[in-house]
Amino acid sequence: MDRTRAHRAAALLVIAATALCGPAPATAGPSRSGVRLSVDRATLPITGQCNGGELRVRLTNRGPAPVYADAVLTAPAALHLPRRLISTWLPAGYTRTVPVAVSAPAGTPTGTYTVSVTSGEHRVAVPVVVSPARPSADLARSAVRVSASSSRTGFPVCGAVDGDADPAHWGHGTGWADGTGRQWPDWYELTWSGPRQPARVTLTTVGSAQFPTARYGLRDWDVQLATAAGWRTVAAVRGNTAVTVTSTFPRQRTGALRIVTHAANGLNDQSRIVELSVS
Amino acid sequence: MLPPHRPAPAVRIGALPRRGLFALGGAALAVALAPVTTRTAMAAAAPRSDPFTLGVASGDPLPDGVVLWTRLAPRPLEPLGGLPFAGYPVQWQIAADPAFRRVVRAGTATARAEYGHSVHVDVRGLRPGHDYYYRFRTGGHLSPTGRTRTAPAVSASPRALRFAVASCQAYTDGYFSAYRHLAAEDLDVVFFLGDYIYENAVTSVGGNRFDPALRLPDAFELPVDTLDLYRMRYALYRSDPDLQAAHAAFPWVLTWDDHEVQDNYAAGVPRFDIPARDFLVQRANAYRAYWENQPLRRPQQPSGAGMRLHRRLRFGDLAEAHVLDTRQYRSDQACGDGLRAGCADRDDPRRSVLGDAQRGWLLDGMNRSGTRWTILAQQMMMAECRYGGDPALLDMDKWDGYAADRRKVLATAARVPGTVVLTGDVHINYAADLRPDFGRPSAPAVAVELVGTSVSSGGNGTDSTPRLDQQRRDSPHLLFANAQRGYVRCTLTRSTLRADYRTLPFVNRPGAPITTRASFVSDRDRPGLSPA
Repeated sequence: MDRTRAHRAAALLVIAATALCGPAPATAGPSRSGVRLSVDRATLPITGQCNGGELRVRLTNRGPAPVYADAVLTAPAALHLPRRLISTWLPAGYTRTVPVAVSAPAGTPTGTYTVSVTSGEHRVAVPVVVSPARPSADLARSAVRVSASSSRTGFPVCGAVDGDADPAHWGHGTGWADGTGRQWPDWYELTWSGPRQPARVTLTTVGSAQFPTARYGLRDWDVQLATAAGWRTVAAVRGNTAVTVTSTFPRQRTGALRIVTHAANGLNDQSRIVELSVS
Repeated sequence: MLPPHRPAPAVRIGALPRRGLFALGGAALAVALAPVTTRTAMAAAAPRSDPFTLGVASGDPLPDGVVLWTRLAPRPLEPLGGLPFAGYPVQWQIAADPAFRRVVRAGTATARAEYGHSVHVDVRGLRPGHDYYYRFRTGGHLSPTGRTRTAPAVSASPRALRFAVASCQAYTDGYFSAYRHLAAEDLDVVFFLGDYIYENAVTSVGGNRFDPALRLPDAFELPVDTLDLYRMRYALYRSDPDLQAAHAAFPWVLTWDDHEVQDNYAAGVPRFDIPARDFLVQRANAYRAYWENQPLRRPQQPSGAGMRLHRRLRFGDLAEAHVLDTRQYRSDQACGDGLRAGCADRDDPRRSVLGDAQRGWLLDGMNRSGTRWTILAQQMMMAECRYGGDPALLDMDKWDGYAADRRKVLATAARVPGTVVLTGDVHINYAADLRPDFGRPSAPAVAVELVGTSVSSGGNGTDSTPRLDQQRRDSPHLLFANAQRGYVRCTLTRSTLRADYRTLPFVNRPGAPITTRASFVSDRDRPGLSPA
């Protein structure tokens, strides 16, 4: 940490210690020490964008009266946290637990980073260990970047490369859906840190009693590879009605692969991929 | 001309600003709702970039005053608007002219971090029934100018009251073009009837706005249940230029519905499976953010999970508006909520949508007001609304699910000439006659209801649907139904109500034109809507 950053961090802590956890001005407030801070995880191992972890920040009001409490999270720019602040009303004796996801964008150097959580006079530092992704026969699991044209809330890009290809788990964060609805095409992309040589893509779309393939499943898509001349289509699927489809093509070197979707069955509203594997 | 940006030196509360632009005119009698206290750490310097990104607003007009509102947020999509945990002095002015040559009141309030850097100024000492212009300044930054209007004197006999009815503005469902047109209307006040924000996740492109320039951070995809996230949600909504224009044009009188907290909640009962105590904490966070982000007075400021939002506003002897809260005190929805047929519990007199105290306050106020017109500014459709079947399916979340309370209100309305119910919630325009027994269409109406469609919720919409056509056939008291977006523009004169249903052809892109889809009138002494 350079001097400027250290100075900023110190300044933040001073502000936090003097201004956070103030009682609601409309109520008689207890001392700041009435709020206790704890964080569930002592250390947090993660391996990148799609293998992050979760801290659970707990704020407990041990004072006799309700307060509005704040917790500030600070982390190096190398880590991604969707939130850096938690503010909440705390009745006397009440504990609020807030999960905070921690991930590392593609290309984050491996090593140990620190997430600090500060509330009033309390500060908890959690080491976050970023490790290289484990080698896998499934090239999708070792992508350094997973991205898409858009994503629907609850259906993140990481859901389609999490190793869970069970369509019955659709709706529980284990698949990807685009965020647009009835707008085509959409795309879903894997980028590797260096050249890979894929020859086979297996795509699982939805197919369960609640989400039958005929109504919600993906129908038409292309498999494309990045080349020096741009994206090149190496396989195309049209009129699909199956839950799982494997496309094969001549093995070749590439740094990225994407699925371009053109239509879905039935409602024809969204792209739904439960799992994508590449070998 | 705007003053040049000038980093403020050390804070001097109440110091006169440079260049005389904000010279104090008259005694600063305003009551700043967030006075400086020793607990507020003051920032050493003004925000470096424009902190007035969320616009200005005024609300709850009285004959001698109005609430002025703004919130500092130089980076509105960040926690605390990009500001540190420190307070900022904010100077305010209110003038009789838009050039601020005749400043009538001015002062300094504090935008405190504890209140999300919002500013509420309860200005008093104004003249009744007059237009005023107001603005704020902090450091070298000057806010946009807002226009507002005080209510007529209590003893005055105004010839007319002009107002609009708006509700339900899901950011993710479309653009707020309706407000661009509303801002150009000639109105005394705007009634906003709930669902100012939606608690659902917003994608980086703003849902169906598909605005790639928006680039919302993924914090907007988190479930909204803490104060910081509710504050950010208001910041997103209030950053919309059309919404800002409508707030800057007129004073607003607001109430909430469910989405300001959580879809279809009932008092302390959440819709979703979370413990009741956790839900009350969520409600407290939501109520706090609501107060911070609206032009409301201190009596409305929440205490924990409770907030007194129901209140009355009087417009001379012409009208009194009873602003209702049908969420905070209601009994849980009958028969498991949703559309139900033959649900006996909906008639249970022990169940209430207003709660005993608010219902007593309302009925007493209706009986006492003595104005030509009585306005009930509230959320849910009061007229019976059938959804097919025999017996008919009825929505347990509406007044249909709380029939005992409805009977009491309509029995009172039968004795109080000129009762007009204003409604939001359903994203549909309806014009309805209200009868104590909806099964007897030959009985005279005792009041009328104007159900205003959504500003954006539901997307583009259509002029009609098979369901709406069926509802019209099943319910003679429903005189009009339309499922496009827009608002209702109304005029009350001494003896006549006129309602113009203003609709847009689309909201999935900006720039929609507006037309008047239908107009209705009703006579004060013989209630009943007929085409104008």
